[in-house]
Formats: sequence, C-alpha cells, structure tokens
Amino acid sequence: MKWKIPASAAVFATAAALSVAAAPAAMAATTDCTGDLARTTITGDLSVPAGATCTLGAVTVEGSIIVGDDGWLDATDAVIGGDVIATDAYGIALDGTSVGGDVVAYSADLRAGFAYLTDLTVAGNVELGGVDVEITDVRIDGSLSTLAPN
Amino acid sequence: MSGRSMPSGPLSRRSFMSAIAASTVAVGLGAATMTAANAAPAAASAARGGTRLVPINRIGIQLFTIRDKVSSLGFRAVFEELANFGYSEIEFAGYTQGQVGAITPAEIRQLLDDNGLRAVGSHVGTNLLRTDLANQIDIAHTLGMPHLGTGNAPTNVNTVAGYLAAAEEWNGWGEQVSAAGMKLYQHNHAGEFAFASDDPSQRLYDIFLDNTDPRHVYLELDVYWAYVGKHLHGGFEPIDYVKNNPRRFPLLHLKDGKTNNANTNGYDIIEFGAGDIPYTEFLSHLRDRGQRYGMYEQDNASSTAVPPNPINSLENARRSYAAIEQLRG
Repeated sequence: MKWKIPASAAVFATAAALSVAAAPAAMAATTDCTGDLARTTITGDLSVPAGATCTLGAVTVEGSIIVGDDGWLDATDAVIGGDVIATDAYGIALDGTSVGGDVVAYSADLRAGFAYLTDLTVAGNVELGGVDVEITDVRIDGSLSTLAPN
Repeated sequence: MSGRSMPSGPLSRRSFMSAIAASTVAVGLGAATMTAANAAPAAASAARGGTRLVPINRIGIQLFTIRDKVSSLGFRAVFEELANFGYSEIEFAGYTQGQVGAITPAEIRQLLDDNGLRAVGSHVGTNLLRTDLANQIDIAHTLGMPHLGTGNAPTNVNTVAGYLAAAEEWNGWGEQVSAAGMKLYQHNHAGEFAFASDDPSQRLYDIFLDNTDPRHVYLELDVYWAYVGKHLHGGFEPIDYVKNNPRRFPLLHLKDGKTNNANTNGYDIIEFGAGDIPYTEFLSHLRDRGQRYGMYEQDNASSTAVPPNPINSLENARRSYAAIEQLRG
C-alpha cells in the first residue's frame, strides 16, 4: 500500500488552493482547486476553474472532478469517488490510485492537450479524444475509447 | 515511465514528498512507503520503453535549418520530404523560396495542407513586430499558426532599463497577438543569459521573464543556446525555466550540441542525437509534454554532417527526426 497515511496525519493544504462555494446545506459543496492540495478529503465535487492549475497529492475526492477550459489537473495518489471530466483542458494527469466513475477528456479544437493515466484503476469508462494520450499500468473495468489528437 | 522518477510541475511527487517530509514525522514514513512501493512499476515501465518524451504529432522543424533547400527546391519539395520523414509541425523563418519564385502565404498554406503539415510558429524580425504587426498577424492567420514570434533578442540594449523598456513594448505586442488568438513568443540565444551591463546581479532573461505579462508574452527555449548561456554565464539550470513556468514555454528548440572545450561556447552545434546535451533527462522533467512542441533546429545543417554522411541538410533533418521520435523517458 502506498501513501499509507496514519489516521493522525495532519492535513497539509495551502489556504489559497482551497475555497468552498456557497451551496444549500443539503448538498455537498463544490471545492475550487487553483493550487496545491495534499492529504485532505474533499467531501463533494472538485472544480478546476478555467485556466487554473490544480495539483493533488494523496487527496480523496468523494465526488467528481470537473476541469474547465485550459485547466490543468495533476493528481498523484488521488482517490476519486466519481468521474473526472475535462473539456478543452490544458491537460490531466492521474498517477494513481483510483477513479470510481469515468475518466473523460475531450478537446474540441485546441491543438494541444493531454491525458496521462498511470498506475490507476478506473471503475467506469475511459473516453479520451483530441489530446495526447498515455495509459500505463491502468485497469479499466468499463470500456476504453479514444480519438486521435487534434 | 510517466515522469515518475523525474517529476516536475507545480507540485511534483518529489517536491510533494519533500514538503511532507518537512511537515511531520508520520507523513515522512508515508513518503518512504510510497518510494519503495513504486520502484517495481517504474522499472517495469522502463523495460517497455518508457514514455515518449516528445509527442509524435508535436515534432516539428524550424525551416532556418534547411534554408538552403527552401531556397533551391522551394516549399513544395521541402514539405513533401519533411512529411515523408514524419514531421508534423513547421516553424517558418521567412515566407520566400529564393530562386524557385514568388509564392503567397495562401499558396504556402495549401502546400502545408497538401502534405498534412501544420504551421506552428514563425520567426519574424522584431522590426516587423514593431512596424508591421497587423500584416504579420494576417499572414500567421492565413498559415494557421497558433504562435507568432521572433528569433531576435528582446532588445539589443543590455541594461536593466533597456530590458524593462523592451518588456513594456513586448507586452503591447503581446496584447495584440493575443487578441488575434495567437501567442507571441521570443526565442533565445546565449546573450539573454548574460547579466545586465549596468547591474551584474540581474540576468537579462530574468528581467524579461519577470516583467512581461504571462498572459501575452511566451518563450521558446532554445535548449542548446540555454546550455551555452549556462556555460558562459553560469548560475542556472536551463530546465528550471520551463519547470517553474511551464505554461510560458509552449515551444522548445531541440538543438543538439557536442562538448568542445576549444569552442568558447562550450559546444558545437550538431544534428540531433549526435551531441551530448542531456535531452532525455531534460525532457523527462516535463509533466505537460502534450502541451509543448519540439522543434528540431540546426543552424549549420547546410554545411555540417556527421561522418560519413554527405553534406545535405534534409538528410540531417531525416536523421534528427528519427532521433527525436525515439526519445523515451
């Protein structure tokens, strides 16, 4: 088991990276990530806003991750309960550990972009199109579909 | 290898581990566990050939490299050869083809399209950025390039005030290029890594980088000239510029150099793959490879060939493409 984290381990997060949007009490909040987050749990969804760079290290996201235009998600040893969805993103890199839903990354008309999946288990589907793709040591329980890079 | 052994980016695995190790003892134990657990998969990846360090559809060439062939054979013949070699991206160094005859940007675009090539950028003189920018943007649009730049220094006034003034002027050009949907960029030689003539504590490149707007002014790192800059002026690692500012370096010049202590630059320019600039190590640092174009350039290709090959810049381009395409990390 890697990143074996004692229950008492301190949360290590940069304050600037973490902001929680207002949400109805009955709903899980969406957290914006615009910097580095490490060793923490996000109870709802995580959003990488347009143009932002979000780096996750040993973070659990109970919901999904949405990456906006030109957003960069660089996740290492993340546990993601829902989906990872990136549209016209700068790129996504998931280097361990698991995604409970789908991984979807499309670029409609941008020349550049990437989706690098490494050392990962994906319970759902992986759908990648229009971006540079590398998949290494990945188990996909659903289907894999790709389209050529733009 | 997924960059596992040489991570970079805003918070790499290595820097993350360092930060964690500094924070608590318990977390330090976690980092140690991860290192041991990952050793086997990393080795397995390497055994399969590792990660392609320059995406195959991002390999390009700066036409300055084969300017003799552009002049003698023309764009049509040159593009056909380059496409056959495998190149995807073309960076221009002028829009004329010497003795072959007049040609318009629209006609060049057609030749690109006919051969499955794409214009990625162009080196135009800073005088044209200053006096003819709207027209240069029109040409760039016609050719379909996402970047417009120059191989000139930001300025020839190598003082702090000179570079600050240049940064201000570049910001204005950059706003116009951004408004046109492209990125303005500057390509370095070694001189930018010198220190200001009136302040030996300030490196010219740093002044330019720090005082230009990251939204509007980008850089194409010529890796060879950066290593020459390091040889001549010292005190920095070329890769750090890209690691610390990944979004500002959408283009790299993959120009190889071979150590030669008799050369004041420290290296001779040579075709890609025949030198000893540590490209595998350099490129392995980058976690956003799919966002970066790797452009082969060799200033002396028309007069230099690795023995026993005959002098032929296009053959240098063919061999260099193969060497770039084979890079794995």
